[in-house]
Amino acid sequence: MAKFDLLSRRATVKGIGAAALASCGIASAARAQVYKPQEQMKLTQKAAHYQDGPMKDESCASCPYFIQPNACVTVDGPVSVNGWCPMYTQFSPFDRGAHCAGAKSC
Amino acid sequence: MNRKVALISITVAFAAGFAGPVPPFDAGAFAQTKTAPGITGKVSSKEEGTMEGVVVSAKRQGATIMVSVVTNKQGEYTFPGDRVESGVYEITTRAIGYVLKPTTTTVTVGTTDRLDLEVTKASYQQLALQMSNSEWIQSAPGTPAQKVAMLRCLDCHGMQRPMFSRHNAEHMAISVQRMTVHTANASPTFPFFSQNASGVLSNPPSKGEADFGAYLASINLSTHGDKWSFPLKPMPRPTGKATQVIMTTYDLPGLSAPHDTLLDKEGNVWVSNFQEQFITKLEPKTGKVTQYSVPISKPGFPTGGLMITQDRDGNIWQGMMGQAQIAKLDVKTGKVSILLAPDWDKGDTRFTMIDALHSHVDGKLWTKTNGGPDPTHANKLYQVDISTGQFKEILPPVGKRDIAAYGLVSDLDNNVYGLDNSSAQKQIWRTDGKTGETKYIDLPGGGGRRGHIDSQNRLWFSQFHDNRYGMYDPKTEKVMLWDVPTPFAGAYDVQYDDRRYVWGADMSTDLAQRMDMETGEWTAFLLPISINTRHVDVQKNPNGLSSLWTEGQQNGKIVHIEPLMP
Repeated sequence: MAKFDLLSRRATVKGIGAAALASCGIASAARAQVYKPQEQMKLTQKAAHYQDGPMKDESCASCPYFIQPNACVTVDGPVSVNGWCPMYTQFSPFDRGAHCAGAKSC
Repeated sequence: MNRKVALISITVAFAAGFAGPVPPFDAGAFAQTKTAPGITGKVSSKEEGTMEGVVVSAKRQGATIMVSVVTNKQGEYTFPGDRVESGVYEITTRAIGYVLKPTTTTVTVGTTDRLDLEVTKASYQQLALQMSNSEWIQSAPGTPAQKVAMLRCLDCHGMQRPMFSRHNAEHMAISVQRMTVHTANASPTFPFFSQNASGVLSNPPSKGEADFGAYLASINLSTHGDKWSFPLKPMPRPTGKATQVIMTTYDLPGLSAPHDTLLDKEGNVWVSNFQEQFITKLEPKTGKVTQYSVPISKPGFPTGGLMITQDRDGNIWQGMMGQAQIAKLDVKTGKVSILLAPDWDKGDTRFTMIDALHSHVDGKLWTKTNGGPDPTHANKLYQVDISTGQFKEILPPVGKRDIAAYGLVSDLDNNVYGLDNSSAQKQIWRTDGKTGETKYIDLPGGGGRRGHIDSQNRLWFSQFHDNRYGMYDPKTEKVMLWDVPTPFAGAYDVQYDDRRYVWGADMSTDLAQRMDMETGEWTAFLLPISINTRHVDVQKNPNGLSSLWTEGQQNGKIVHIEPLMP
C-alpha cells in the first residue's frame, strides 16, 4: 500500500482563501509565508521540547509554523530549518478539523 | 414503537434510538410542495443500487450559500425550484464510504434539471478522511473514560490530528500536556498560549497526561504504518424522517471561527468570532456578511469572543475573552463600545459568558470572568448595570466554592443559572437577581454545559460528559434527563421550541438532533458539513415546524436545518 501521505491529496492554497480549503477538510502543508498569524506569545525552546536536529524525516523545514529563514510561529528564538519539536505537523494551520464531508467529496 | 417520556423527579429517561421506527410518510414528499423541482435525480452505486440517506449539496459557482437535501428510500433527491437560481452549480455528496467525481450542472429557473449521480466506493485513505469526529471516537478501542477524554480534543481541532499523528507515547504525552496550556479559544490557526504556558511545560507531563498520551499513541499511526489498528466504523446513513430536510450552509469570510449563532427578530443571524475581534452579522436572504471590528485592549493577549447575546432593544453584546472586554454593538448606529472587566489588566482575566437577554427586567446583564490575579478566587459572577457600566460581583454563599460555571443562562425574571461543566461537581446553580442568593441544584452526572430558558421559565441544558439533555423546572424543582442516542457525542447545547420539539447538537457527530416531546422519538439530521457546534438557536414557528441554526466552529460556516415533516 502506498504511504499515506496527506500532502499528495489535491489541494490548492490561495493565501487567505485557504480558509476555503479548511472548509472542505483537505489538509495541505501551507507554508508559514502563506499563513500569516497574528503576534502572540510563544513558548520557550525548553518548554516546546525543541531540538536542533530532525526527527526521522520530519523537520522545521516542512512544518507550516516555520518562518523562513529561522523563526517559528509558536517557539521563541531562532530555530533551525533542520530542527524539530513535537508541535511538528503536516496539517495546514487553516485546517482546524473540518473533515472531508460533503462540501468537497474526497 | 414510540417510547413516551416518563415524568418523575430526577430521573433519567432513555429515549428511542435515533434510527428508530417512524410513521409512514410519502417518499415523494417534495412532489407535494408548490414549487416545481429545480434539480432532481437519484443517487446510486454499484454496491448498493439506489441509496437512501445521501446528503446531496448544490452550490452555485461563486456563491457563498449552499443548499442540501437528502435522498429518500427510493434514492431520490429534489432541490425545490425556489431554492436554486439560474447558473452553474457544483454538486457534492456526503455518504461515508463513497465519493462522487467532480460534478457540475446548469440550472435554469423554471425548468427541472434531471441529474442522476453515481458514487463509487471510497479507498481506505478516503474513508479515513471522511470519518467524523464521533466516528473516530466510536471506532477506536478504549474505555468510556478515554473516549470522553477525547472529546476535549475537539475544543480546538478535530480528531484527525491525533489519529493521523505518528507520535510515540513520549511525544504524545508532551503534546497532551501542551494542550492544557493553550487558551480555551486556541486553534491550529491561532495557537494562543496561556500566560504561564512555558512555566508549566518546563515540568514533565503528569501521570494522567502520560497515560492519556500512551493511549493516544496506541491508536494513532505510530506503530501501524498506514493503517489503524482497529476497523474504521462509520455510522449508518440517515433513513426515513431524517431524510426529509433542507439544509442551507452559509460561508463566513476569512478565518472566521463562529462560536455562537443568534437569530434576531428581523431574521438576521449574529455570530461571535471565537478568535478574532469581530461581531459578525449574516443576512441569510443574500448571504451578505458584515463584520464589526472590536478594538484591542490588551495587545499580545488572545483575541476573539465567545457568547453573543441580544437585549430587548436589539443591541448585540459579546464577551471578548482574552481581551477582558464586553463589546456592545449599537445596531442603530453600527458603533461598537467597550466595557472592561474589573482587573482587566491583571494577569489573564478573561470573559466567557454574557447574557443580556432579560436585561430589560432590571437594567442588568449577567457575565462572568475567569482567571485574574487571585488564583483562589478565579471565577467571578457579575451583574452589570447597562446604563452606568458598573460591575457588581455576586459572591458565593459563605463556605461554598467559587460560583464556577461554563454556561450562563438568564431566566424570564433575570435570575441566572450557571452550568458547571466540571464532571466532578454534579451541580448547576441559580442566583437570584434581586437578592444575590445562590442555590445549588444536584444532578446525576456532571453538571451542565450550555442551555436556554423556555417560555415556561424552565431551564434546558446539556450535560457534555454524560451526553444528555436535561430540563429543570424551578416550580416543581424537578429535573428530567434524556440520553442522546449517539454515544460519546458530547452534547453541547439544547433548546426547546416551546411547542413540541427539543433541538440539540454537539461537537462530534455532525448531527442535529430533534426530540419529539409528544412521542419521545428522536430524529438525527446528518449535516452536509463538518460541524463542531458550540451553540444552537431554534427558529420558532407558531404556524409550522421549528428549525435550527448552528455553526461549524472549525470551518467558518453557519447552517440552517429545516425539517420538512413532523
